[in-house]
Amino acid sequence: MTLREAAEKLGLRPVAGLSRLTREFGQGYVSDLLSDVMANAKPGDIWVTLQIHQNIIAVATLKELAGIILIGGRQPEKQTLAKAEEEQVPILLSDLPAFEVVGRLYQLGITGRK
Amino acid sequence: MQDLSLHILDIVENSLAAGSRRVEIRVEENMSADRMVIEIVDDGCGMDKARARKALDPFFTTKTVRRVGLGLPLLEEACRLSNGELRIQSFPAKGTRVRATFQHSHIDRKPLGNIRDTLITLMIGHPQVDLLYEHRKEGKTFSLDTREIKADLGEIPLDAPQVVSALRTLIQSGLEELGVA
Amino acid sequence: MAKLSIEDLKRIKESVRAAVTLREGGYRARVNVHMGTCGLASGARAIMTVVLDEIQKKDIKDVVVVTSGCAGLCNREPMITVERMGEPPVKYVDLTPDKMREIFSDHVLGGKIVEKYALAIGSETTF
Repeated sequence: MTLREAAEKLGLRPVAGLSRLTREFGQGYVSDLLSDVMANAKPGDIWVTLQIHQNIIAVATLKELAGIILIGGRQPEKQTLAKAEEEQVPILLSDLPAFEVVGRLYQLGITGRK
Repeated sequence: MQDLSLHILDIVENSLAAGSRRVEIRVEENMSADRMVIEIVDDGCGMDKARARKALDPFFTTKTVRRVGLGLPLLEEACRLSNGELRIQSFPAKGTRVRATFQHSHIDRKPLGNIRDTLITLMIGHPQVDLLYEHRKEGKTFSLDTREIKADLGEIPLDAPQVVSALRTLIQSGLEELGVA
Repeated sequence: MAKLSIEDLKRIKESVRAAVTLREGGYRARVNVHMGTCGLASGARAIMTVVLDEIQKKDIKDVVVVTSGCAGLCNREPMITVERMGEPPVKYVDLTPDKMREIFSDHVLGGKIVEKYALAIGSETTF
């Protein structure tokens, strides 16, 4: 599915990287430890996290991730938004906890394993 | 990174890439002040003020293969998440001092982890560089200086397998005596 | 200051016959373990430890181990480059400790490239 479709189905609010919302993704990764994401996420994964520092944009570009879903009502830091726009990394916001977001994505066919 | 010993290895690799001939790693666990400090001091090419400021920007790197340099930003985050901070002091042609502080008892403060393997990796990967490791905790100190080890070894290289094995044992027992291994 | 004991030094000096610095020449192979941030995040240090353990266990005296920084292939870490004397360097990717042991036996010692783990076979030697 595309990021836009996921946003509609899960009630996510896109706040950056809007040009890339037509991007398709089929897999995801959830972790709040950046080095863990660097080690284990796959290119094209959607990343679910509570981290809001601009480091997440660096990791997302390094790993060529489809986009970032920030959970629990968290807001990205100003620098994070700026960098996300610069790099066109999609950030989508959710008030739901990570477990709920991942569960709903899974029900829609998004898996976490190759 | 899973633990602080991997962060240390990462940052010291920076020091080596900057042409250091000597790197000093100091770890201090101050229980009464509830503070842990890791300091990495090198004598590499250093950075001017502008560069030193950019060093914590994950999109700043001197690498040519990548636009992203995450070593220092990740360590800075580890400090921040445990109520500490990262300070960088650097002088061109003199060297760099990276000082990472953490609240020792903070629940999100990463453990030190396998510092022995970090030290062995550095010693074998770059035997020509002098490495000092000094760890202080509750009034006791464990320290090791490869400059002295090499002086004792004479012509025998630091990375000879028998030396590696002896060093591993020396470091392990030293850390155990300190209560950190 | 921790030092090697007199007994340790005596034992080492007795068992290291020729005082040859491996890096100066006469070595069979060089293993370069990539230690950039992504490499370390993915387990590069454990790969290094495996190489050093194999050298210890098999009493190898002519293999040099070096480390280097990020090679730009962050999605394929941990990575190593194996270069046997006179042969082209080979990059191995997506390593685990078990794969490393296999590569050490088959390629570093045995001279046979483990193609299933290799990324690229270089066309120039570097030493």
